[in-house]
Amino acid sequence: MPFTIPKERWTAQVQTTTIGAPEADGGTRTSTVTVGGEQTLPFLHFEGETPNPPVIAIEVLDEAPTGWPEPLLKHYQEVLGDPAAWAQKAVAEFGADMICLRLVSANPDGTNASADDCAETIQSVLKAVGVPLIIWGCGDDDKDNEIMPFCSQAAAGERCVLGSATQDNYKTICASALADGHLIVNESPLDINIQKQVNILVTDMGMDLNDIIMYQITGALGYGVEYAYSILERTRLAALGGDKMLQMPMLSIVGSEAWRVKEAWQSEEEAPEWGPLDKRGIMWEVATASLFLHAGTDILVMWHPEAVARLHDLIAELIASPQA
Amino acid sequence: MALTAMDIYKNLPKTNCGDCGVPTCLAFAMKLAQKQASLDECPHITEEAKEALSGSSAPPMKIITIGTGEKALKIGGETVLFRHEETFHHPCGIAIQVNSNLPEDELRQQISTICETEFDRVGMTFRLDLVALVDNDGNLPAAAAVAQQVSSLPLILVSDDPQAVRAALEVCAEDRPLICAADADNFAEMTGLAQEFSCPLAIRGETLEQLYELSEKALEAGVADLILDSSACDSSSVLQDQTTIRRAAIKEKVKPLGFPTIGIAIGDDEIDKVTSGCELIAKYAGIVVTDLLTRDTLLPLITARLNIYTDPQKPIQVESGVYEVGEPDAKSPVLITTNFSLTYYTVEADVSAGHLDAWIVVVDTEGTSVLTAWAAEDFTPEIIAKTIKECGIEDKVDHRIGVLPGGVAVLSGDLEEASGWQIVVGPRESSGIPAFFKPEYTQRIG
Amino acid sequence: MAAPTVTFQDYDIVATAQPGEVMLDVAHRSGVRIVSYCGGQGSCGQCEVIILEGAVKPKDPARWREEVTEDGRGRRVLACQSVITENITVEIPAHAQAEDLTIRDVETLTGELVDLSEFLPLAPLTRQFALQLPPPTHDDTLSDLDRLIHCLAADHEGLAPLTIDLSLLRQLPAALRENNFQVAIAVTDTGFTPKIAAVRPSRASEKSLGLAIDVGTSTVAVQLVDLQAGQPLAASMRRNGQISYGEDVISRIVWTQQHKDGLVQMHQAIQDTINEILSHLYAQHDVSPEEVIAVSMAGNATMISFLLNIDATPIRRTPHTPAASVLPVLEAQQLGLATHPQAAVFCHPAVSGFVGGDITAGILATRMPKSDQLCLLVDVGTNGEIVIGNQDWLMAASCSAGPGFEGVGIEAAMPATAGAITNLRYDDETDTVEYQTIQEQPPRGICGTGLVEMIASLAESQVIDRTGTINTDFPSKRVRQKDYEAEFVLLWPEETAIDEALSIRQHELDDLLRSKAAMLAGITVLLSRLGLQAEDIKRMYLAGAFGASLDVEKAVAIGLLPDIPRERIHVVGNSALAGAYLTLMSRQAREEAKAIVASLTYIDLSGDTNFMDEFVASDFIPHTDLSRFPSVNI
Repeated sequence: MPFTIPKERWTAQVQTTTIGAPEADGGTRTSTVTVGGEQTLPFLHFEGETPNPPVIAIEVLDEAPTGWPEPLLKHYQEVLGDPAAWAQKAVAEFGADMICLRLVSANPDGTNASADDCAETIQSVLKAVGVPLIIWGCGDDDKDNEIMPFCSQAAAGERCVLGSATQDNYKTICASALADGHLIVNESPLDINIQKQVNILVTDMGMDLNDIIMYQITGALGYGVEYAYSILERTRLAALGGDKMLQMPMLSIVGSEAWRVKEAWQSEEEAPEWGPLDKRGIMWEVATASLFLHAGTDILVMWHPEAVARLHDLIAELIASPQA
Repeated sequence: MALTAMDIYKNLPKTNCGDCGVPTCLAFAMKLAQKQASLDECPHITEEAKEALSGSSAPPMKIITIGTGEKALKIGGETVLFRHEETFHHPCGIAIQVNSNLPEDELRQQISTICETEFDRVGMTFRLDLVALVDNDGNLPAAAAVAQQVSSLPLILVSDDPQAVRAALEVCAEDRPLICAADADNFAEMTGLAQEFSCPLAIRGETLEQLYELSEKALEAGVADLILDSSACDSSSVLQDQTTIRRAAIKEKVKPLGFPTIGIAIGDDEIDKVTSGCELIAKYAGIVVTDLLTRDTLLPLITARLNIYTDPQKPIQVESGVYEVGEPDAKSPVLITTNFSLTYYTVEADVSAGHLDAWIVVVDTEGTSVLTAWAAEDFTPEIIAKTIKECGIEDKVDHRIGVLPGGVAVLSGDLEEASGWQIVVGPRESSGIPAFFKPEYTQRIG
Repeated sequence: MAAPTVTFQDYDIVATAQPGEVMLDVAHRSGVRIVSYCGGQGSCGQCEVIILEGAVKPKDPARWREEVTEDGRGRRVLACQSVITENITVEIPAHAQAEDLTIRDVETLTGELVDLSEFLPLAPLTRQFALQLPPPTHDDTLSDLDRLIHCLAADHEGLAPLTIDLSLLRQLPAALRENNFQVAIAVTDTGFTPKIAAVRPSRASEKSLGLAIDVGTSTVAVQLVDLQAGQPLAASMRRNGQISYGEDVISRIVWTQQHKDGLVQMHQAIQDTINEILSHLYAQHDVSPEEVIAVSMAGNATMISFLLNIDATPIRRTPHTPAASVLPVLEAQQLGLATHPQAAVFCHPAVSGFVGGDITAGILATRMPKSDQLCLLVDVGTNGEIVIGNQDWLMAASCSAGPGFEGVGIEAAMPATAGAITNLRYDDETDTVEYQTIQEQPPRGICGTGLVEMIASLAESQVIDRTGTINTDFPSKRVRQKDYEAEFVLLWPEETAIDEALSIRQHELDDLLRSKAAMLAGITVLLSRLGLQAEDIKRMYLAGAFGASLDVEKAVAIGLLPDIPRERIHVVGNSALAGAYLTLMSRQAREEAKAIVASLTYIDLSGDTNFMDEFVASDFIPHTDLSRFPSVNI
C-alpha cells in the first residue's frame, strides 16, 4: 500500500497578536511585531501554516548587572547602566525584534528606584529605539504594583507588553494595561492550569484575549527545561484543540535562565570536566532556546548576541519549507 | 487508539476470582490499560477475548538492540508522541563518528577517548553510546578490527559498500553492530548481510516514500530489526520526517515505519551541530550521530537527552540540600521543607515576598508535599535530622534553630532530640511566612 | 503549699494541676475538652483560652503569646503553652470547645435510602422472643438449653441449631426459673450459627431496641431504632471527642504512636463520645441500656480500629492494610458500649485502610450494586470518598478533601442543627446578607449547605475572585483585615445569637476551595481512569456533610459537583448511617454488605499525576476549564 503522510485535523489556531503601535495607531513605534496564528504544531508546514515566525527580544536591564561572565560582558561593556544605549545596540547591532526592559533598579532590596525614575527610563528607551517594548517589573509584588501604573502611563498608547500578572497579583498591572492600551504577560509557575486561571482572572477584569501573552517560568537546559518544554507543548496542543483560554502566544525567558546555570559561566579551572568556557554559555543559551522553539514558543527573550544570531538563523531555517 | 479499562473489562470473565493476583477484574483491566500487566496473567481469559484485546496491545514501535551483553544499547519501543502523555522510554543513543582511515594509533586513541568520556549529573554518570565507524576508501574492515579490540561501546558500520561491510562484519558481527545503511542501490546485498550475520540494519530512503517502500521490502525479505534514515539534512526536513515517522508508527500503526530512526547532527560549526543535535533529541531520533568530540559541545547534548527522557509522571522534585533565598548569612533563619518542587517553590516565593534572607533545607521525600510525606513517614524526625546533619547547613549558620512547617508540628519534639537543633514551629501555610517572621522573629528565636 | 487549681468557668469544674502540667492536659484529664488540632504543639492556635484570674508560666517562650481581651476581662493564651503554677480561673471561648461537643438532635432517618421494602422479610441483627416454656416434669427431662431451643424452633422455623456462650449458660437455669419459665430470649444472627445472646425473665413493658451508629472522623451520629417495628425513633450526633488529638485519622494514628497510652486514650474518647450520645438519647426517650440489644456500626477502618482497641499504625503505612476486613459479630461489652452487655455489634466491613465500613454502608444504602445504571456516590467528608459503579463492578477512591464542609477549621461553621444558617445570599446592591436558619432560630453559625451558598454568592457578587481570593478593594465595610489576612463579615455581632460576628476568613475560603477541588478532581480522575465522562453518570448520590436543603444548583456553580443534569443528583444525607440501619434490620442487607467487599476495587489517587493536575484545575470557581460547566454562569 502506498504511504501517505498522516495529518492531524486541528480545529483551531493560536491567536494572532500585534505588539507595538506605530504612529497611525497612536504610538511612536517604527516597527511592530506580530506573533501567533499558527495552525499546527511548531513548523509542521505540511499540515498547517505558521504565518508569523517566532521573534527574539533582547533583554535590557535598567542598571548594570553584577557577576556577568566575561564571554557575555564583553558585548555589552560600554552600554551597561545606560538602558537607552543598550537597547539601541541590541536593535542596531544584534538585530533584536523587540526590547524586553527589566526594571531591576526598582527592587526595594537594591537601588529602590522610584516610580518616576522608572517612567523616565521607559521614555528614554522608547525614544532610543523604534521596536516594540516589553516592560517588566522588578519582581517584588508590592513595589511593582507601585511603579507599574506610572510605567504604563509613561508608555501610554505604545501597545507595549507589561510583565507580569500572576495568580496572586494581577489587578494593578491589568488595570494599568487597560487604561493605557497595553498588553500583559500572564505568568505561571510551570502549571498549565494556573496559566489558564490567570488568563481567566484577567479577562474577568475586562482584558481582551488578544492582549495577553502567556509565560511559564522557564528553567534552563539541565535545570528543569523539560517541564517548560512539555507545558509549552501541552499549551499549543490545547490551543489547536480549541481551548480559547490557552490560545495566546507564548513567551520564554532564555537569557537570564541559561546564563544563571553553572555550566554557562563556571571557569575551566573550576570545572575542567565541562571543557573550554568561551562557547559554553552561548551553546547553553542556544540549546535552551532551540528546545523552546520546538515546543512552540513565540517570543524568546535572550541575552548573548551570538545566540540571538544563531536563533534568527534557526528560525529562518525552520520557517522555510523542507528542502527536497 | 488505546483501549480504556472499561473496554478491556467487558472482555474479562468478571468473576473477581483473584487468580491473576489482583482482587477484581476491573482492577486487572485498569492495570492492563496502563500496561502494568499482561493478558496472560488471567488464566480464565477466552480465546475470543484474547483476540479482541491483543491486537491493540501490540507495541507500535519495535525495540531494537545494538551490541550484545552489557554494552548493548536498546532504542525504540516508544508509545507516545508527546512526553507528557506517558514518557519517552528508551533514551536515544549518541553515536560519535570516527574516520576509518585514521592511523591505527590515532584510531585506537580516539575510540578509547569516546568510550571513556563520562559526565556526572544529578548523582548519575552518563556516557556516549555508540562508535560510528565511517568507511573511507575501504578501510572499514581494518578499523572494525581495531574497534572490536578497543571499544567498550557497540559499533555502527557506516558504508554504502557491501563488500567493505561484509569484511567488517566478518571481524565484528558477533558484537551485533548496526549496518548503516541499505539504500535503493545496495538494497539486496545489504539486507542479505543483515540476515546472514543477524545484525540490525539501517535503511536509508531519499524520500519518506522511498524509505517506506524499502522498509516494507526489508520486512518482506525477513529482516526484522530496522533503523530508519530519511536523509533529511535541514532542520525543517528533519522535523517533518521525524514527526511523520513517529506519528505513522504510533497513531496509524504503519508497520514499515514502526522502528527507531537515525539522524546526523548537521551544521557548519560546533554550535550549529549542537543545535541540530538538540532538535533530533527532542524530535524523536533513536540515534543521533555526530562528529563533535569536545566535552563542552557534548555536554549540552547529553543534558538535553537527560531532560527530554526524564519521566514526567514522577513528581517534579528539587534536589535535597541547602538553598539560599536572598542573601542569607550565619544569622539568617533556617526553614525546613520537602523536595516536592511545588512545595519548595511556594516556600521560596513566600520567603522572597517577605523580603527575607533565609536558608531553606530541603529534605528528600521523593517529591511529596509536607503533609503527604509526613503521612507516609517519609518526613520523620530521623530523616529530617539526617538531612540537617549532611547538607552542610551547620557550617553556614552559627545558630541551631530550624523552622518546621506548622502542619507537622507534632514532629518538633522528636526532631529537637534527633537533630540537637531547637525547632520552632512555623505557620501551617507557607503564605504565613512573611507574617511569621516579620515583627517577632528575633524575639521568637531569643 | 497546696497544689494549684484550675477553675473552668461555665463547667463547674475545679481541677488540681500536677507539678509542671500545662492547662491543656489538666483540661483533658478533667473531662474538659479543648480543641487542639496540633496535639498541643503550640502551632494551631485552636486551644486559645481566656485567663480571668491568676497567671500562668510560658512553657516554651518561642511559642508563647498573650494578649489582653478587647474588653479587658482577661488575657488570651494558648492552653497548651500555659504551665499552671498558681490558682487560675479560665473561660473557654466558643471556638475552642462548647460548640463542638454539644450533643444535638438530628432528624431521624427517612427517605429512599432506608426503604426496607427491598429487604423483606426483616431479620434484625438480634431478635427478641417472648416464650412460655413448659417446665420440666418427670416425663419431660429435657435439659434447659434443649428445652429452650426446641420451643424456639417449634415457633420459628429455621432458627435451630443455636449456640450459646458458657457465661450465659451459667445464668440459664436461674433465669428460666425466676419467672416460672416465662422468658424473653434474644437471638443474634452471627452470620453463621445463630447465638443465644440473652435470656431473662419476661417483663411486659420491655422494648427491644437497636442502634445504628455512624462513627465518623469528625462527627458521630446515632440512630435509635425499634427493632420489632423496624421504626427509626430518634437520632442525635456529636463531634467525635478524638478531635482533641488531631483533626484527621493520620494525626490520630500518630498520636497513638507517640503516646504510651495513646491507643487507650483514643479508644476511650470514641467510647465516651458514643456513650454520651446514648445517655442523652436514653434520657430523652426513657430507655434503659438493657433494652438495647443490637448495634450496627459504620466507620472507616481507623475509627473501627480505635473503637476495638486495635493498633491502627499499619493503616498509616503502605500498603495501608487494616487488621480485619469483615469482622465477626461482637458483643457490646467488649467495646464498652452502654447497652445490654451482650448486645450484638455488627461492623460494616472495610475494603482497605482507605475504604471503610462507612463507604460500604453507603454503597449498600444507595443500592448501587443492584443498579443497571452507572451510579456515583460522593461522600463529602474528611476523607472524601468516591464510589462509582453498577451491578457489574464497583470502584472506590478517596481524595482527602479535608473536613472544611463539615465545619472543622471554619470558625463561623456549625453542624446542621437549630440556629444553623442553611441558605445565604449576599446582595451587593444593598450590602445586606439574607439568610435562613434551621427551625428559624436566631443564627449561631453556618452549616455545610450554607457554606456552599456563601461561596456561590460571594463569587457572584465578586467579593471573591475565581481563586476564592477576597477582593480587598471591595466597596463594603464587610471586607476588612484581621490578623494579616482579609475577612468578609457575614453577620455583625448584634445579628447573631452568640454576640460574635460571623465572618469568613481568607484561609478558610482557601481551605473550602481546596476541599471542593479535591472532591471534583477525585471524581474527574476516577472517571478518566475508567475512560468515562461526567455525563455518563446516570445517578449521583451526594452523601455526608450536606442536608436536603443543599441547593444543588449552587453546588454545581462553585464546582463542587460536575455539571450534569440536576435531576440526576440526589442529596441523600448520611448514607453510612442509613446503611447501618439497614444491616441492623435485615439479614439480607448484612449479607449484601459483606458481598460488596469482594466486588469493590480501590484505587489510590494520590499516586496519580493527573490528580495533582486536576486538583489545580479544580481549585477555581467553578473550574479552570469553563467549558466543562456550560450551565454555570458566575
